[in-house]
Amino acid sequence: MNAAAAGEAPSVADFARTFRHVQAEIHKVIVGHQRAVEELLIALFAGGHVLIEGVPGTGKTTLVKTLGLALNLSFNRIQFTVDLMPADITGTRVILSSEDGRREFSFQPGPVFCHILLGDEINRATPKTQSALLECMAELQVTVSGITHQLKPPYFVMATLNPIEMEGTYPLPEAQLDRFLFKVRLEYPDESEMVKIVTNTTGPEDAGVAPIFSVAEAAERIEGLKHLVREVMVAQSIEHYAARMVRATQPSSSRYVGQQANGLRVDAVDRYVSFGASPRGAQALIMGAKVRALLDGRANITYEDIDQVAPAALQHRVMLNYAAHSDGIDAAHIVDRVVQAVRPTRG
Amino acid sequence: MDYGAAQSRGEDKSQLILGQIGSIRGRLNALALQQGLFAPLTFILCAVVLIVGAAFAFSPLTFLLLASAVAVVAIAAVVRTARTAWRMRASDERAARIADERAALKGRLTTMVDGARLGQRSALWPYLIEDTLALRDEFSAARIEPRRVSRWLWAAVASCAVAAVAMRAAYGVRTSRLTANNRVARMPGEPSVDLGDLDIRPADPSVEPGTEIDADPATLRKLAEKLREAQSGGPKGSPTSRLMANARDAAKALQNKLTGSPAAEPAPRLKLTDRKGGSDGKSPGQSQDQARAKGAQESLPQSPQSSDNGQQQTEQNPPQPNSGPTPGVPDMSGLAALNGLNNDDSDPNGSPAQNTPPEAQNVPQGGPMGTGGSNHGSGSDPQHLYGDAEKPPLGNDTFKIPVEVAPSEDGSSNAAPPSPPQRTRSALNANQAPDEPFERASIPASDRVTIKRVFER
Repeated sequence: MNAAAAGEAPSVADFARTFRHVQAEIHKVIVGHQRAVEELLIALFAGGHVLIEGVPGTGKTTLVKTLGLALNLSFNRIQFTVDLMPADITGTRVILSSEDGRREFSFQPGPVFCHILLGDEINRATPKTQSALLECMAELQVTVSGITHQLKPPYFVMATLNPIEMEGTYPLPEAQLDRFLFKVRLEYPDESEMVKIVTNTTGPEDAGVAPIFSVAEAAERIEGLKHLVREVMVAQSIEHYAARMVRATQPSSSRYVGQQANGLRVDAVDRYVSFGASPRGAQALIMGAKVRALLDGRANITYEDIDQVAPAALQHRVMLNYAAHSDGIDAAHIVDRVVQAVRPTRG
Repeated sequence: MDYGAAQSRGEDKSQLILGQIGSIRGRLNALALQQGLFAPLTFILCAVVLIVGAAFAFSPLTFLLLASAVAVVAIAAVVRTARTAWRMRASDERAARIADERAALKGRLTTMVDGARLGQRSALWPYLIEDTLALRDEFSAARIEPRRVSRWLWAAVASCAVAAVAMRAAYGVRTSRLTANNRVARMPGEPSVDLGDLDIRPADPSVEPGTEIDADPATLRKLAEKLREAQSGGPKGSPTSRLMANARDAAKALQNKLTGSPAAEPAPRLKLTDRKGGSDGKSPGQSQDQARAKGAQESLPQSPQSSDNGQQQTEQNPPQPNSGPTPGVPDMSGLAALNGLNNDDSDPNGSPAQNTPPEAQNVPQGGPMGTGGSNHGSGSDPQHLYGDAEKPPLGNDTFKIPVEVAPSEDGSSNAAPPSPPQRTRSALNANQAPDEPFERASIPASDRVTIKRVFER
């Protein structure tokens, strides 16, 4: 019996062991996508939400469902469509008749009331419906008809984006994109992975996912691990490094940047970026790095941890301009340039 | 378990780690200090050796350029290494960062130092201490920085050795040169001054020093300017050339000081004296100057008539009546010496008579009367070959030149010998006779047209 099971605070070793266990269970179903799965779990234990981008058939929905099963947490799925209304997500008040014949309004919780929420093809819903998720994601609460309803932690939103079939879609507003800790990209599997997928999914039996935690302790255990992540120590020089990296994503020509004289200028950013990352980007860098440090058995983070999580933490926070689209430059390329530019400034 | 005791043990372990970081810091700072001392010393010694070597090996201008370049490079290197050493000094944070890098500790020490400094006590602090303490051997001071002595120490020692050898050799050469210079300084020397194309000579080779001469105003102006240049120690050219001359002189002086070569001879002190003020009432100094000029004239090769034995020449040829200090005839005391100087040193090819046409030296100058005629370049001026010389414009243009000169190892021209040879005089034998000036003769009328045509061509 490990320390956590005994009711003590989890240790660094417990964290790494639990993380690898969950990872292994997911990979019983999900073939390949090691980096995506790891980033997904990092975001979960860092207390953030994840935006998953991938072409159809790459296992986005399966990945999220498997995660819910492995953690033994409540799981809901919302298929976003253009006619989906906010009340369909958050819940609404309905008239219920009591046994004595009296009718009264009663709050009927929506699908957001769970631990793990999958918003499938979130960009197909209208901005009004998309923004209904904002309060849930940021504050873990829902306000309906003036009454605020708390969501139970842990709360983890995973939204998927389909990069093709863009007709009739509504790109997520920047404010909502910023609330996702990471953006994870699912690529097509290679040949060997595809063979394994076919073998696993066309046989008579499905791969069984064994829950890591019992239903009663799952939420508490995960919250304990999330708390441990926040205890990881960060040297000041590394905080400056993360802040410098985020500042480097901001074009110097932007009127919102302020005094950039001491900042690092990256040519690609000045040319292709209209808006850079916000302070939430720096938070994402540090939190993601903390999880990576624990996975490595350390109580402190390093510059390499920051660099490792930078693409997932920053690329959806960088708003590209028209020049970037015309030149075929994507956000991942910009973030890569930023990391290369900031790396020599390590203390 | 007592929480207080556990915390105390944790603090002890923390201090143990921080102490180890402190020892790393001390070693890094010692190395930085050594570099700050020995690297500039190395560069300075190398620069000194190069400059002294260049003083022996190169001409003043090359030495000046080379020494300047070496000095600039040395200063830049000293500043750079000193700045590098200053940057190498390590605080606890920097020492921890270096140790993290060299021992691949993944920021553990940096985080510990930060945590201790800021008083951060996370729940994972004990874990960090234990984790770091387990790696204690990895970041021992000897392992992080194995060197106690900077490599610059060996460079400094090597440069000291080279400098000592070079200085000893230089001292030997310098001493021998100084001895030789003292010998040379005692020898009577010949004055040297570069008069360039200044074409003034006595009309009569037998003229004595102290004789007044006259010349056309343009020649007098050139002479006056030349003398001013000589007095000011350099040519009055463009500012750049003056600057170059000054720089060359400075380099020469430094070079002489380093190599023990004789100091640069003082520029000949030449004076232009107005005829009215100086011809009759000579000051003692002027008389002395004239005497020196006379001696100079005697010691220098003159025209063929007086080149073999100047003293005899002077004694045997008293001043001609028409060449004495009569009105209209300028004093030649200084110019006679200058003429000798000119013949001796102004020739870049080493030919004493380069600037003076042979016929001007050999052929008695002047017109049929034997007194007038052109007194400068008359052999090349066909207009003054015949008849009476034009009456020269006199007045304030007449002057006399006392010359004060000193021996020189090397004159301003390439023809000058490196050191003045000992002048020897021997008596004439029975078959020898002192040179006599050619007698002047009038040119036959039938040849005048032919000669004039030849010279005009």
